[in-house]
Amino acid sequence: MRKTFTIIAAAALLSACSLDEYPYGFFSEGSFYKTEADAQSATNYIYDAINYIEYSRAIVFLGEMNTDAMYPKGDATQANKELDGWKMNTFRTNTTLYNFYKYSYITINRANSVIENVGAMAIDDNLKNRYVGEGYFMRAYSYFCLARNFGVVPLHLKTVRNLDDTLEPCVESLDALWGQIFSDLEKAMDLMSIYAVPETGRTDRVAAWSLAAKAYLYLASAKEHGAPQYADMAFDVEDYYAKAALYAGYVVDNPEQKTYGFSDNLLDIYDVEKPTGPEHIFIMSMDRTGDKEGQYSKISKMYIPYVAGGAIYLRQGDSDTFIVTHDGWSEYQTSTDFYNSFETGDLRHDWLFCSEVYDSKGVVTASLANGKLPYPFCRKFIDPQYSGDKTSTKPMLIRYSDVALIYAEAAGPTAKAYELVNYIRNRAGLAPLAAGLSKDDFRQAVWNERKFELAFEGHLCYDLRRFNLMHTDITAAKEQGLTAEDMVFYPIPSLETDLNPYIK
Amino acid sequence: MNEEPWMKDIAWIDLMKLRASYGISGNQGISAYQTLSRYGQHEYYYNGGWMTAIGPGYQSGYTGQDGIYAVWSGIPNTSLKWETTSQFDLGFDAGVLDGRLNLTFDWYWKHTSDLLRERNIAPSSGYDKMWVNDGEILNHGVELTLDGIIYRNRDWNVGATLVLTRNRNKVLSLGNSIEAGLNTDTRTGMQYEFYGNSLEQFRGYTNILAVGQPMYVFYGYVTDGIVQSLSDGLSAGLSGDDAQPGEFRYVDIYNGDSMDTVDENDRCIIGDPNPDLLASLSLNASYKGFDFSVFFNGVFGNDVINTKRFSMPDNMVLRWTVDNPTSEYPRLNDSRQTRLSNWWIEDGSFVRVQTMTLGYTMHISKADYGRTLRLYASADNLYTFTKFTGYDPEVSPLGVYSGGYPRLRRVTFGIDFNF
Repeated sequence: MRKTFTIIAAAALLSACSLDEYPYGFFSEGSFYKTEADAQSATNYIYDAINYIEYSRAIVFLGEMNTDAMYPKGDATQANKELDGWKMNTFRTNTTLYNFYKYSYITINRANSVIENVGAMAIDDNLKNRYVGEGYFMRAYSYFCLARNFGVVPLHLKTVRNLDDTLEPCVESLDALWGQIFSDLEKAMDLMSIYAVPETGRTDRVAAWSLAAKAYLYLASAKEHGAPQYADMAFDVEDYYAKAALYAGYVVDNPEQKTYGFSDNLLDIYDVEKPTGPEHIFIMSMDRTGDKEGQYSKISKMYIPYVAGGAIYLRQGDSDTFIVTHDGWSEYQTSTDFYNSFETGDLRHDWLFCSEVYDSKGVVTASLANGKLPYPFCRKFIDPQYSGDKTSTKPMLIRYSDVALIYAEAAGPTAKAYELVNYIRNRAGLAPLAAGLSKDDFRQAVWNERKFELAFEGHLCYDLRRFNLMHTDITAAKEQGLTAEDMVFYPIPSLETDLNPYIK
Repeated sequence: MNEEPWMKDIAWIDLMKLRASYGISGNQGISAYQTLSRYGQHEYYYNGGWMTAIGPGYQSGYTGQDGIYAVWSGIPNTSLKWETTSQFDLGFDAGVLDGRLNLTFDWYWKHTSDLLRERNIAPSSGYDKMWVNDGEILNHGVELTLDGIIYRNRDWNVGATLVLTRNRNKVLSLGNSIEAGLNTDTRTGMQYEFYGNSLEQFRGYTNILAVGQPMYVFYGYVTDGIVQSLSDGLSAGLSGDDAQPGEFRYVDIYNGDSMDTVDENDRCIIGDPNPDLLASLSLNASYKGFDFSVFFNGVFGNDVINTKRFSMPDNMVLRWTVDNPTSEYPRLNDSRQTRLSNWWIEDGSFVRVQTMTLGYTMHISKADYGRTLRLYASADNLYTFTKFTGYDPEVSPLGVYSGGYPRLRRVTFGIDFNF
């Protein structure tokens, strides 16, 4: 007995004799990536980056504020006004562009860390593949965001671990950058599976297919329309249209894929309580119970105008029920031209852009007609359960209808393509597209449909970019005589060029 | 020295001493664990609840207008070591005239290597800042203290202390230029890195560490008055909104790019926040029961960026308008994208009457000389002599004045009893 005790005591002493000191209070690369929970936390950290206000607002904002559809309020912050007015010589120091750029790379670094570290962990293979696949997806998504806005940018494919790692030159060509995006997406598709039900704030194989389709269509149409720099890229336009149709087809024309589909009710898509609805292939995850902005969302306040500083009620479709929301800050205002450009009877106009608000009894309190509403506002981002400024309204990053329209545009006037576009038009209360359109006319019609279906969800500017319409369809740019070459990309932010001697 | 045989007999010399010293010291003035990667921790909403999110990079601060943006740190620097300073000092002490005048003089030379500093790094790294130590700095200067009794008799006692300090510093090296990612000034070939925090107002950094220059010099554009007409602006190399009448007329100082435009290559060193001289003077006088003392504090020859220079109430009427085509102040334009230029730089020299005290001491009882009553009035920060137009020229070593309230002036009246 006594002997046993001595052995135990000796063993305890020996094992306590490690001289490695681990810091208390925070994790370090060497002290993390031990358990499955660590792998999950590391993956959460990637998505967490896109929720910061520096990024989450710009994701929607850069798709609209710089077009004629949206304009900022009179005393908006400088960065918003500059983008709206196409003040090109301020773009290198524009804070919105800088933060968008910076947070793309924060996301990339976190994704790189998951790809490397979780990839090397000895955990359940299904989990590991899922997390590493999400890492590849988020890296591809971030470079996709960077490539569309800035063109060639520095390429970081490894976790930044020391000063030397912090500096990379710009990738040599657009072909190389997009090639990296496609190769990451291939890996993501291989590693990930399809969720049984959509998981808010996480991505799966369907998201990877969708993004691949989006990227191939973006390039195919940009080159076809002669957008500067894209026109010089090496790929074959028809080949990329076919690839876009192939990947989008995996999403919209695939009996194996039963998780995602159309919402049959327009209002359900934007119901803040239904983020796991079938439309939501990739949606940000924010909740009104969060502590800080980014954890909760204030995106609702950006779209909704200031009315009287309190609750306002909105009519639900054409019913007699009303739902409540806070009023807003009038930051993202709808242009009258855009509001009037919808077809008559388009429910996306009648139901999703408000020209009247009510009190709790359904009496009109402010309207365009009585002059108390400054503009018809987009109500896609509202939260009836709001708590003060805090809401659960989440920017939608990839929506099933977006992928359906990508398929239609890429595939051309096929029966399936017509079926998908007409589903969307029918849901919006509109007549089907004219039958027998030529490929070009059909593509133009689908492109047009995107403008209304995806309005104020962060797409319009990119659709103008890939159709080479920036210099013709944006009044502020036309007035200054900006050319397609001027506008094809934003300049790399000066805080990057000031600190990175490889880029001038 | 005063005890040397050849000096012993000089009566008016009380003390004379030569000093020389040399030493090496280390500085490890950063928080622990900077050699380890530091991960951040946050809560991410997933599957109906808050889940832990952990990964590379932690939020080390806030930035931007209203401080709503995050600053990210956490890259380890495994080669961090102590910053070492070797210092050589020569001194001379003297006391003469029976303690009436004392003098201390020092000359020092301080060489710091492995300079510890928090560097800004390119945003494409996913980080904002990290600690490095690979530079060399030289500081050298003189310090002089004069302490004397000017006049003394039965009723009068008048004394003064004067301290003068002059320091010069220079960045000798910032490490290997490629490894350290230094920038090169296109015009002069000077190598530098941006230092400090970027200012929202100028949307960029204001200070640099540049090889061969004093620490923290200001780097920006040079202005030459105000644009008076669009053609004036265009011919100056400005474009777009910058070329409009009433805007700053930035100067195109770099022509090597064969472009007559004002761009980032036209930046240069536009100011130095390091003072040429620091001085303080204290005077004490007493006459019978009255006592008086005053302490002056002065800083000379330093530049300060006055970020409020355009928004001072008294210059609003001086701004450029069509009817007032001044070349002093630009027009009111809230959408201007302002660049840091010499326009914002002012001479930060000042002399401050730091404290002044006047008192009178009475003896309450003739029998017990220790029982006294003293009435006094004392003022802190009584007055500042300066040409600086902001509220307070005394700013941090980076020389950026960012407004705030004027320094408090305090006047105290008091009565002291001694029983």
